[in-house]
Amino acid sequence: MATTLGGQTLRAPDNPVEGGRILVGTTERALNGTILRDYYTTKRRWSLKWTNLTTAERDTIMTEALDPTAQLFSPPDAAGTFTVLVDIDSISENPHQEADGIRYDISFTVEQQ
Amino acid sequence: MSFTDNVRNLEHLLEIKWDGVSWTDESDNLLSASGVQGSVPIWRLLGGSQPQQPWTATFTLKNVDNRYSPTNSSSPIYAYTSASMLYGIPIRFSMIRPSVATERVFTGYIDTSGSSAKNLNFTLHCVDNAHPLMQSRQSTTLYEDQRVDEMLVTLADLVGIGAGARDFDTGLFVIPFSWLDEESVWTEMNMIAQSEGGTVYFDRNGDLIFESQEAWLSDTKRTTSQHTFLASNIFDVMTPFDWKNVYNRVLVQYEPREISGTVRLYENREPITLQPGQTRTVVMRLSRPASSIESFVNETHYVIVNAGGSDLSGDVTITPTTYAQRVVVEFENTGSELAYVNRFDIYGTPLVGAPTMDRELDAADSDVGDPASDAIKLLEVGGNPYIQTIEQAEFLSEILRDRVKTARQIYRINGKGYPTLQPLDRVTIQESKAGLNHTGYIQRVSWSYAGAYNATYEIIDDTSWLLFDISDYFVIETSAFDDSHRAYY
Repeated sequence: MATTLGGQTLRAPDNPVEGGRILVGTTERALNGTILRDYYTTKRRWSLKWTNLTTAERDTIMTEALDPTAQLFSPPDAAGTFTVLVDIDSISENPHQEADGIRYDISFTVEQQ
Repeated sequence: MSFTDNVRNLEHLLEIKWDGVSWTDESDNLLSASGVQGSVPIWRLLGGSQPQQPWTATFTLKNVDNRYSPTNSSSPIYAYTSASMLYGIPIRFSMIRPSVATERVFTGYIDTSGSSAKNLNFTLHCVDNAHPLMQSRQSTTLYEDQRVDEMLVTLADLVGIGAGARDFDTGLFVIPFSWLDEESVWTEMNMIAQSEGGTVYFDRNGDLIFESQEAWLSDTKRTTSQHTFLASNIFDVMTPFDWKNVYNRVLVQYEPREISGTVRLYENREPITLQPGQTRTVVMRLSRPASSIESFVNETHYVIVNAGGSDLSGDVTITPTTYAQRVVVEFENTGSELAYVNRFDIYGTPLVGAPTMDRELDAADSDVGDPASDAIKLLEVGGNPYIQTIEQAEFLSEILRDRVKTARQIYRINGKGYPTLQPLDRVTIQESKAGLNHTGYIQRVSWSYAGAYNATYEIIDDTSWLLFDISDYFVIETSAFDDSHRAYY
């Protein structure tokens, strides 16, 4: 299935797309080591990466990645559509020279709102 | 308790009564919350003139859209925030365990507030339901021989706290004379309760509570452990001793009072002029509080004339409202001439005080030595006008001496927050590595909520508070009538 972010279809990210869960709450250990956990809920998180992007592909992805507002996201496994925020601090953009010109490796994380 | 599980799914409910009528749910905007319950060491409440500090709470709210900014005219609550600058608006906060329980943590009013432009948030600093009482200054008539709880009911009624919003123990002592003269209701309530070693406070539900000294033996929350802190449910425990406030002599001052014969209590110094048709209200502050005042009689108590000196008393209506230490008199000139109230005297039977008396008590077995042979370390309690009898002073001095003569063992526990635990609750502490297996009373709770709901509990060991095991004391309607029990005081 197509990966979309902010209504824009992106080139399929490299495999594997690392998915995970975030605990909204805290986990601490008591004096004797017992785990004490208070939580509100859990949220989903995805780490996306692309290698050897063309300039056009890079521009499409970066336009959505740099949007600080909430966006709709469909992960490649078609698990559904989620409202997410891009973790802008996690954006990594690495250009490199190839025989056919400049290519880009990009990665960032999105978190369910 | 429903919040004792090691793994807790928590939600919260923050409500603000913007319009003074309906609660608005602001939970979605809450970023963090914290609060303090019971900020005065409990021994300081014994007879002292220091009021119990109200419980406080601080709420930090998301304010990206400037919802709470009182200058933002686009905010849907602008009508309320701009009118009050958020001051004095009712607020309440509860912790929720979905499908398990909802427990109120704080009920009070917004006191101060402000925004952070950098963090795009808004912070509300709140005070419990004592907030309006701290602002309310009242005058009363002179009350004679009121039991402590009876006088507290009088003051609660005065500020609109009805029977459904208060829970008062029966007081142990009768206060011979009590009154307010434009004084803070909260401060006076505290002094009245403290005059017999009791305490008043607003609990987490916002109800006004008076607990007498007798509550230490009769109130279930003080006689039965409400929670056990274990190594499996706390993060840390510290065990400091309070050596600083140890005394080997206590002195409690009392101020005997009696009603004397009739004297002049007020004399006006300058004429009061009344235009035709004019109504004027004059506050006449009496030199002493009065048990009764004489009715006002023309030419005996006052003289009202025109510019030529002719009597105009028939044209002026006098309507007094009498309090213990002031009379508010409304003059209405119903005539057609300018009237002068040239003399206005108030006579009555005043309350007079004897010189302040001292009740002094030594503790030969004090941790700081015997005052008969060692340096004297004196704790003086005075300035409470409701301690008027030697019986009150003796009672307080004995209780106080037994609680300050030795260093007090304190436990400071960091752990999970439990909304139902409040100051004065009896709790148990068991931690084998620190060698702890004790009971004590919570003095102070500092709670915080930001993902986790945690708290620091300051607890005084019960052996630092009661001389003997709580089961040793004789309790009316509970203990068998035999010689195996001790009298409390």
